[in-house]
Amino acid sequence: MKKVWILSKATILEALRRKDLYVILILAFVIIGGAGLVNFFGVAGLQKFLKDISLTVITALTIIISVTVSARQLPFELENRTLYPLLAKPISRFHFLMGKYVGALIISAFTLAVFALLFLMTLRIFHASTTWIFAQAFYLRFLSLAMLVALALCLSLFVTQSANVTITLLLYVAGSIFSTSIVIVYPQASSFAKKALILFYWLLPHLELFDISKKVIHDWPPIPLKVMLILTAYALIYTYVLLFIAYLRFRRKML
Amino acid sequence: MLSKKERTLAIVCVACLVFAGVLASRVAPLVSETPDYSAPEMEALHQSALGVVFGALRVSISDLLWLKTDEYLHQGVSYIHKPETAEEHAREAGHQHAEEHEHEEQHAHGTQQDSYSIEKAMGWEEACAHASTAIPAAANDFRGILGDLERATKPYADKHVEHSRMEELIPWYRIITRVNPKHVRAYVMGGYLISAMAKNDQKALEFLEEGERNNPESPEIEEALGRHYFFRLHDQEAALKHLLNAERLYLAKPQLTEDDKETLTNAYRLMAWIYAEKRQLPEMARVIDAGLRLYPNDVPLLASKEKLAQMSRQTKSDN
Repeated sequence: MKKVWILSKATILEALRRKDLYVILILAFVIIGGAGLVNFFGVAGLQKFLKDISLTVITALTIIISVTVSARQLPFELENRTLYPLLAKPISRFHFLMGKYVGALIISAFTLAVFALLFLMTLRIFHASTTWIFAQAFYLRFLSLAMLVALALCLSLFVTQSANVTITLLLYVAGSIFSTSIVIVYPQASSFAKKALILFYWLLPHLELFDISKKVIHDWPPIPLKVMLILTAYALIYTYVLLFIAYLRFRRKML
Repeated sequence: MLSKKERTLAIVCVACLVFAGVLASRVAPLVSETPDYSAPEMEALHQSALGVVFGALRVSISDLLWLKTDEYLHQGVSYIHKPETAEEHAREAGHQHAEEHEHEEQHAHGTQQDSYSIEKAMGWEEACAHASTAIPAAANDFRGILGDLERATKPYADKHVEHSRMEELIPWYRIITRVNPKHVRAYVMGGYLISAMAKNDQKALEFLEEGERNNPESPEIEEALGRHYFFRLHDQEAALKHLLNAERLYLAKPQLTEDDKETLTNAYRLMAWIYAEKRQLPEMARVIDAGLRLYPNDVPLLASKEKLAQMSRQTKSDN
């Protein structure tokens, strides 16, 4: 565990040194603050609009940070040859992979926490309502980031860095569209096509289930605890499977 | 402290920023103006691949935002709106016209009641009657637990939900028209809501006039301007000018859809009222006949026809 933590700390320090995190935080601050100050025809109290813009910005920026940070971890170590002295020490490939995963996840969680704080402050300033569903929304976002980081780390062992970023972001965006399309075309499909569609649907990682922004925006009541537990188990299973595949690949990888 | 060279560079940077600001302020009005393209220039634009791609992108984004306004109206619940049949449309149009007639009379006489909602005026009630939820109900869902999870994590209702605060829709109409200035419905709906919900008639007029500048061939915006001048600004001359424009533009169309017919009938109804006020009976008769050719059972037009007959009798007896 100590070895994993040391590697995670190095990952966090490297991400903090790169400064792109600060740029994204400033950008989020400007956009969210701007959304609160903007005036449309003198209409006051546009709380839904403020929440919508803020949550959209937070979702987009946390995903970009998580994917870019986790996708560059392994290629960066290989390119700079810093991996070899590390593996020469008593650090196994499993520890190395887990260290990278935990480090990238902590960076993603830290960014999300800062955004959550910024969001709550903005809502307080503009007297917008806040309920428990906010905490649920950020917890579920954290779970989806855990899955995304595992996915990006896993893919970085199979494809190049730029391809990895593109595929992961596409999976996030297109996954939701694809799932919705399956639901719409299913009733019109033939019996064989229906079986194929069900298989596809169950195989796809449903990251869209972790996005409850619409419920937050439109002031719906909090989600039942049972649903939260099922989603937690779902995220843990996917993360475990993705990290396991990554480990199998990394263990056999010729360095 | 900065060195002399660094100070010089800093001054040059500030000077460049100021120059850029001046240039931007000069260029901004030219960029926001809609250029008056000639027919060959328009043809060249339609042939341009880049123009087509960006045009399609603008339309797609504005349509997605339009769907968002529908979600806002229904507290986040997504609905799929089914097209209605011509018979359903005609039946509902007749029913709605009777209610609108009552509402307009109340409005004109200053006795407007809350029973006639904005939803009815905007045609949203009618649209909602033909909608079903985008997320299927548990009984019709093949996805099992994943379907249950979606129903739990997304706004879902197995029946029609109440409409939410409509002021919240206004920013999206502004954004839609910024993305796609050709989105006529966003101008019409936005103009109506700015006036009815934000109670800002002047801003609503500016919004509709912007729509008119960007869509000079749109009869819908002319009709909306006519309504706005008539009901909100109480300027009958200006209302008549726009309603006549709307009529001209509709009649120039090769074929009228059911929506076109309904809006044109509405323009005829308002024109009949204005001509009645001005006691221009031949013009009043003309617009009533034209409107009744579209919807022979239109209640407000039939009422106007009755009023016209009374006014004609009165004129004859006076003579």
